[in-house]
Amino acid sequence: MSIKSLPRIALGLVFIVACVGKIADPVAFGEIVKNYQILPDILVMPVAYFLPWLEFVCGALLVCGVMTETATALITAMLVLFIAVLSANLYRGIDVACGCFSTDVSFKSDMVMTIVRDVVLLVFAFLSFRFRKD
Amino acid sequence: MKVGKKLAFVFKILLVCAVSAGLAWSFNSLRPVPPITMQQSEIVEIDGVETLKIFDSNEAVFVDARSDTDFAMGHIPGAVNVPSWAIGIELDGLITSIPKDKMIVVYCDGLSCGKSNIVARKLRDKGFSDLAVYPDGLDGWLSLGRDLEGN
Repeated sequence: MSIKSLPRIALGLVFIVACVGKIADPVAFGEIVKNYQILPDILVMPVAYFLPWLEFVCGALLVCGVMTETATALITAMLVLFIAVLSANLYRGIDVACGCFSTDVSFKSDMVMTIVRDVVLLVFAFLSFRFRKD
Repeated sequence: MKVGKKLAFVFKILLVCAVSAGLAWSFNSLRPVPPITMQQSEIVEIDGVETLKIFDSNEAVFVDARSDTDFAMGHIPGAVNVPSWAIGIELDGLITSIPKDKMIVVYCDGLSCGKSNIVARKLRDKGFSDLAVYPDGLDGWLSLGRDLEGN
Protein backbone atom coordinates (compact mmCIF):
# COMPACT_ATOMS: atom_id res chain seq x y z
CA MET A 1 0.00 0.00 0.00
CA SER A 2 1.50 3.30 -1.04
CA ILE A 3 1.14 6.55 0.85
CA LYS A 4 -1.00 7.82 -2.01
CA SER A 5 -3.74 5.41 -0.97
CA LEU A 6 -3.98 6.87 2.53
CA PRO A 7 -6.45 9.75 1.84
CA ARG A 8 -8.68 7.35 -0.10
CA ILE A 9 -8.69 4.70 2.62
CA ALA A 10 -9.09 7.27 5.41
CA LEU A 11 -12.03 8.88 3.63
CA GLY A 12 -13.61 5.49 3.03
CA LEU A 13 -13.22 4.53 6.69
CA VAL A 14 -14.72 7.84 7.85
CA PHE A 15 -17.80 7.20 5.71
CA ILE A 16 -18.12 3.61 6.90
CA VAL A 17 -17.89 4.67 10.55
CA ALA A 18 -20.35 7.51 9.92
CA CYS A 19 -23.07 5.27 8.49
CA VAL A 20 -23.19 2.54 11.17
CA GLY A 21 -25.43 4.36 13.68
CA LYS A 22 -27.73 5.58 10.93
CA ILE A 23 -28.13 2.10 9.44
CA ALA A 24 -28.89 0.71 12.90
CA ASP A 25 -31.57 3.29 13.67
CA PRO A 26 -33.07 4.75 10.48
CA VAL A 27 -36.07 6.18 12.33
CA ALA A 28 -33.88 8.29 14.63
CA PHE A 29 -31.87 9.39 11.60
CA GLY A 30 -35.16 10.18 9.84
CA GLU A 31 -36.09 12.48 12.68
CA ILE A 32 -32.78 14.30 12.29
CA VAL A 33 -33.29 14.58 8.52
CA LYS A 34 -36.77 15.95 9.22
CA ASN A 35 -35.39 18.51 11.67
CA TYR A 36 -33.19 19.92 8.92
CA GLN A 37 -36.45 21.07 7.29
CA ILE A 38 -35.07 20.76 3.78
CA LEU A 39 -37.02 17.80 2.43
CA PRO A 40 -40.78 17.34 2.11
CA ASP A 41 -42.10 14.81 4.68
CA ILE A 42 -42.73 12.15 2.04
CA LEU A 43 -39.02 12.00 1.14
CA VAL A 44 -37.65 12.02 4.70
CA MET A 45 -37.81 8.28 5.41
CA PRO A 46 -36.67 7.10 1.93
CA VAL A 47 -33.63 9.36 2.28
CA ALA A 48 -33.03 8.17 5.86
CA TYR A 49 -32.99 4.57 4.63
CA PHE A 50 -30.98 5.16 1.46
CA LEU A 51 -28.31 7.73 2.38
CA PRO A 52 -26.47 5.68 5.05
CA TRP A 53 -26.21 2.74 2.64
CA LEU A 54 -24.89 4.99 -0.11
CA GLU A 55 -22.28 6.20 2.38
CA PHE A 56 -21.44 2.59 3.23
CA VAL A 57 -21.11 1.42 -0.38
CA CYS A 58 -18.99 4.43 -1.39
CA GLY A 59 -16.84 4.06 1.74
CA ALA A 60 -16.34 0.35 1.09
CA LEU A 61 -15.43 0.98 -2.58
CA LEU A 62 -12.83 3.55 -1.51
CA VAL A 63 -11.30 1.27 1.12
CA CYS A 64 -11.15 -1.63 -1.34
CA GLY A 65 -9.85 0.59 -4.13
CA VAL A 66 -12.60 -0.46 -6.53
CA MET A 67 -14.37 2.09 -8.75
CA THR A 68 -12.65 4.82 -6.79
CA GLU A 69 -13.48 7.54 -9.32
CA THR A 70 -17.20 6.84 -9.05
CA ALA A 71 -17.12 6.52 -5.26
CA THR A 72 -15.11 9.74 -4.92
CA ALA A 73 -17.54 11.60 -7.19
CA LEU A 74 -20.51 10.45 -5.11
CA ILE A 75 -18.77 11.23 -1.83
CA THR A 76 -17.81 14.68 -3.11
CA ALA A 77 -21.43 15.27 -4.12
CA MET A 78 -22.60 14.17 -0.65
CA LEU A 79 -20.06 16.39 1.11
CA VAL A 80 -21.03 19.41 -1.01
CA LEU A 81 -24.68 18.67 -0.22
CA PHE A 82 -23.97 18.36 3.53
CA ILE A 83 -22.00 21.63 3.53
CA ALA A 84 -24.82 23.39 1.64
CA VAL A 85 -27.52 22.06 3.99
CA LEU A 86 -25.52 22.88 7.13
CA SER A 87 -24.70 26.37 5.83
CA ALA A 88 -28.35 26.98 4.96
CA ASN A 89 -29.42 26.00 8.47
CA LEU A 90 -26.63 28.03 10.04
CA TYR A 91 -27.89 31.02 8.02
CA ARG A 92 -31.51 30.35 8.99
CA GLY A 93 -30.50 29.96 12.64
CA ILE A 94 -31.84 26.42 12.87
CA ASP A 95 -29.79 24.58 15.45
CA VAL A 96 -30.36 20.84 15.12
CA ALA A 97 -28.29 17.75 15.81
CA CYS A 98 -25.90 17.15 12.91
CA GLY A 99 -26.63 13.44 12.49
CA CYS A 100 -23.23 13.14 10.83
CA PHE A 101 -21.69 10.29 12.78
CA SER A 102 -24.57 9.09 14.90
CA THR A 103 -28.25 9.54 15.48
CA ASP A 104 -27.56 10.62 19.05
CA VAL A 105 -28.82 14.12 19.68
CA SER A 106 -27.13 14.26 23.05
CA PHE A 107 -24.53 16.89 22.37
CA LYS A 108 -24.88 20.50 21.42
CA SER A 109 -24.21 20.76 17.73
CA ASP A 110 -21.44 22.99 16.50
CA MET A 111 -22.35 23.61 12.90
CA VAL A 112 -19.28 25.69 12.07
CA MET A 113 -16.95 22.89 13.20
CA THR A 114 -19.03 20.38 11.27
CA ILE A 115 -18.74 22.48 8.11
CA VAL A 116 -14.96 22.78 8.64
CA ARG A 117 -14.75 18.99 9.08
CA ASP A 118 -16.70 18.44 5.86
CA VAL A 119 -14.36 20.82 4.01
CA VAL A 120 -11.35 18.82 5.31
CA LEU A 121 -13.06 15.66 4.05
CA LEU A 122 -13.52 17.39 0.69
CA VAL A 123 -9.75 17.90 0.56
CA PHE A 124 -9.36 14.17 1.24
CA ALA A 125 -11.83 13.51 -1.59
CA PHE A 126 -9.74 15.70 -3.88
CA LEU A 127 -6.54 13.82 -2.93
CA SER A 128 -8.34 10.54 -3.38
CA PHE A 129 -9.46 11.67 -6.86
CA ARG A 130 -5.97 12.92 -7.70
CA PHE A 131 -4.45 9.50 -6.92
CA ARG A 132 -7.41 7.45 -8.18
CA LYS A 133 -7.03 3.98 -9.58
CA ASP A 134 -9.81 3.88 -12.20
CA MET B 1 -14.23 13.16 -21.26
CA LYS B 2 -15.49 11.36 -24.36
CA VAL B 3 -19.15 10.42 -24.75
CA GLY B 4 -18.43 6.74 -24.14
CA LYS B 5 -16.49 7.52 -20.97
CA LYS B 6 -19.21 9.90 -19.80
CA LEU B 7 -21.84 7.23 -20.30
CA ALA B 8 -19.73 4.68 -18.46
CA PHE B 9 -19.30 7.15 -15.60
CA VAL B 10 -23.06 7.84 -15.37
CA PHE B 11 -23.72 4.10 -15.55
CA LYS B 12 -21.30 3.46 -12.66
CA ILE B 13 -22.93 6.21 -10.57
CA LEU B 14 -26.36 4.69 -11.20
CA LEU B 15 -25.00 1.23 -10.42
CA VAL B 16 -23.61 2.34 -7.04
CA CYS B 17 -26.91 4.10 -6.22
CA ALA B 18 -28.90 1.03 -7.25
CA VAL B 19 -26.71 -1.29 -5.15
CA SER B 20 -27.10 1.06 -2.16
CA ALA B 21 -30.87 1.22 -2.61
CA GLY B 22 -31.01 -2.56 -2.93
CA LEU B 23 -28.97 -3.06 0.23
CA ALA B 24 -31.08 -0.51 2.11
CA TRP B 25 -34.29 -2.18 1.03
CA SER B 26 -33.18 -5.74 1.74
CA PHE B 27 -31.51 -4.91 5.07
CA ASN B 28 -34.53 -3.02 6.35
CA SER B 29 -37.05 -5.58 5.16
CA LEU B 30 -35.02 -8.44 6.67
CA ARG B 31 -34.74 -6.85 10.11
CA PRO B 32 -36.12 -9.18 12.82
CA VAL B 33 -38.11 -6.23 14.21
CA PRO B 34 -38.92 -3.78 11.45
CA PRO B 35 -38.32 -0.21 12.56
CA ILE B 36 -41.41 1.75 13.36
CA THR B 37 -42.35 4.21 10.70
CA MET B 38 -42.06 7.96 11.07
CA GLN B 39 -45.85 8.21 11.29
CA GLN B 40 -46.06 5.77 14.19
CA SER B 41 -43.22 7.43 16.04
CA GLU B 42 -44.69 10.87 15.65
CA ILE B 43 -45.95 12.76 18.68
CA VAL B 44 -49.25 14.65 18.60
CA GLU B 45 -48.99 18.27 17.55
CA ILE B 46 -51.33 20.89 18.97
CA ASP B 47 -52.17 24.34 17.66
CA GLY B 48 -52.19 27.69 19.43
CA VAL B 49 -55.88 27.64 20.42
CA GLU B 50 -55.59 24.21 21.99
CA THR B 51 -52.35 25.14 23.72
CA LEU B 52 -53.95 28.20 25.28
CA LYS B 53 -56.93 26.12 26.43
CA ILE B 54 -54.61 23.57 28.03
CA PHE B 55 -52.45 26.28 29.59
CA ASP B 56 -55.38 28.23 31.01
CA SER B 57 -56.98 25.14 32.50
CA ASN B 58 -53.65 24.19 34.08
CA GLU B 59 -54.00 20.71 32.61
CA ALA B 60 -50.44 20.24 31.46
CA VAL B 61 -46.80 20.73 32.31
CA PHE B 62 -45.00 22.81 29.67
CA VAL B 63 -41.50 21.66 28.79
CA ASP B 64 -39.05 24.07 27.15
CA ALA B 65 -36.65 22.18 24.86
CA ARG B 66 -34.21 25.08 24.35
CA SER B 67 -30.90 25.65 26.09
CA ASP B 68 -30.76 26.78 29.73
CA THR B 69 -29.51 30.23 28.63
CA ASP B 70 -32.44 30.73 26.26
CA PHE B 71 -34.77 29.42 28.94
CA ALA B 72 -33.46 31.92 31.49
CA MET B 73 -34.09 34.77 29.05
CA GLY B 74 -37.77 33.96 28.77
CA HIS B 75 -40.16 31.02 28.70
CA ILE B 76 -43.82 30.12 28.96
CA PRO B 77 -44.83 30.76 32.61
CA GLY B 78 -44.36 27.69 34.77
CA ALA B 79 -42.44 25.75 32.11
CA VAL B 80 -39.75 23.22 33.01
CA ASN B 81 -36.46 23.34 31.08
CA VAL B 82 -35.27 20.12 29.45
CA PRO B 83 -32.62 21.10 26.85
CA SER B 84 -32.60 18.88 23.78
CA TRP B 85 -28.98 17.82 24.40
CA ALA B 86 -29.63 16.52 27.93
CA ILE B 87 -28.99 12.81 28.47
CA GLY B 88 -28.28 10.30 31.24
CA ILE B 89 -28.14 11.54 34.82
CA GLU B 90 -28.64 15.12 33.70
CA LEU B 91 -31.83 14.22 31.87
CA ASP B 92 -33.05 12.14 34.83
CA GLY B 93 -32.39 15.08 37.17
CA LEU B 94 -34.29 17.49 34.95
CA ILE B 95 -37.38 15.34 34.63
CA THR B 96 -37.79 14.40 38.31
CA SER B 97 -40.08 17.38 38.87
CA ILE B 98 -42.37 16.44 35.97
CA PRO B 99 -45.38 14.35 37.07
CA LYS B 100 -45.90 11.28 34.88
CA ASP B 101 -49.68 11.35 35.16
CA LYS B 102 -50.02 14.83 33.71
CA MET B 103 -50.07 15.89 30.10
CA ILE B 104 -46.76 17.24 28.80
CA VAL B 105 -46.56 19.95 26.14
CA VAL B 106 -43.10 20.39 24.62
CA TYR B 107 -42.12 23.54 22.75
CA CYS B 108 -39.04 25.42 21.52
CA ASP B 109 -38.50 28.60 19.50
CA GLY B 110 -41.03 28.02 16.77
CA LEU B 111 -41.63 26.30 13.48
CA SER B 112 -37.97 26.43 12.47
CA CYS B 113 -36.86 24.63 15.65
CA GLY B 114 -36.59 20.86 15.75
CA LYS B 115 -35.77 20.47 19.43
CA SER B 116 -39.33 19.83 20.68
CA ASN B 117 -39.60 16.52 18.86
CA ILE B 118 -36.21 15.40 20.16
CA VAL B 119 -37.20 16.12 23.78
CA ALA B 120 -40.69 14.66 23.32
CA ARG B 121 -39.12 11.44 22.06
CA LYS B 122 -36.73 11.30 25.01
CA LEU B 123 -39.60 11.86 27.43
CA ARG B 124 -41.60 9.11 25.74
CA ASP B 125 -38.63 6.77 26.19
CA LYS B 126 -38.58 7.75 29.88
CA GLY B 127 -42.16 6.56 30.31
CA PHE B 128 -44.19 9.73 29.76
CA SER B 129 -47.20 8.75 27.70
CA ASP B 130 -49.43 11.83 27.44
CA LEU B 131 -47.18 13.93 25.21
CA ALA B 132 -47.84 16.72 22.76
CA VAL B 133 -45.66 19.12 20.84
CA TYR B 134 -46.59 22.77 20.33
CA PRO B 135 -44.79 23.38 17.01
CA ASP B 136 -45.50 27.14 16.89
CA GLY B 137 -43.41 27.42 20.06
CA LEU B 138 -42.46 30.75 21.58
CA ASP B 139 -43.04 32.61 18.29
CA GLY B 140 -46.62 31.37 18.29
CA TRP B 141 -47.04 32.04 22.00
CA LEU B 142 -45.94 35.67 21.62
CA SER B 143 -48.09 36.15 18.52
CA LEU B 144 -51.08 35.08 20.63
CA GLY B 145 -50.31 38.06 22.86
CA ARG B 146 -49.17 35.99 25.82
CA ASP B 147 -46.39 37.01 28.18
CA LEU B 148 -43.17 35.21 29.04
CA GLU B 149 -41.62 34.51 32.39
CA GLY B 150 -37.90 35.15 32.94
CA ASN B 151 -35.32 37.88 32.44
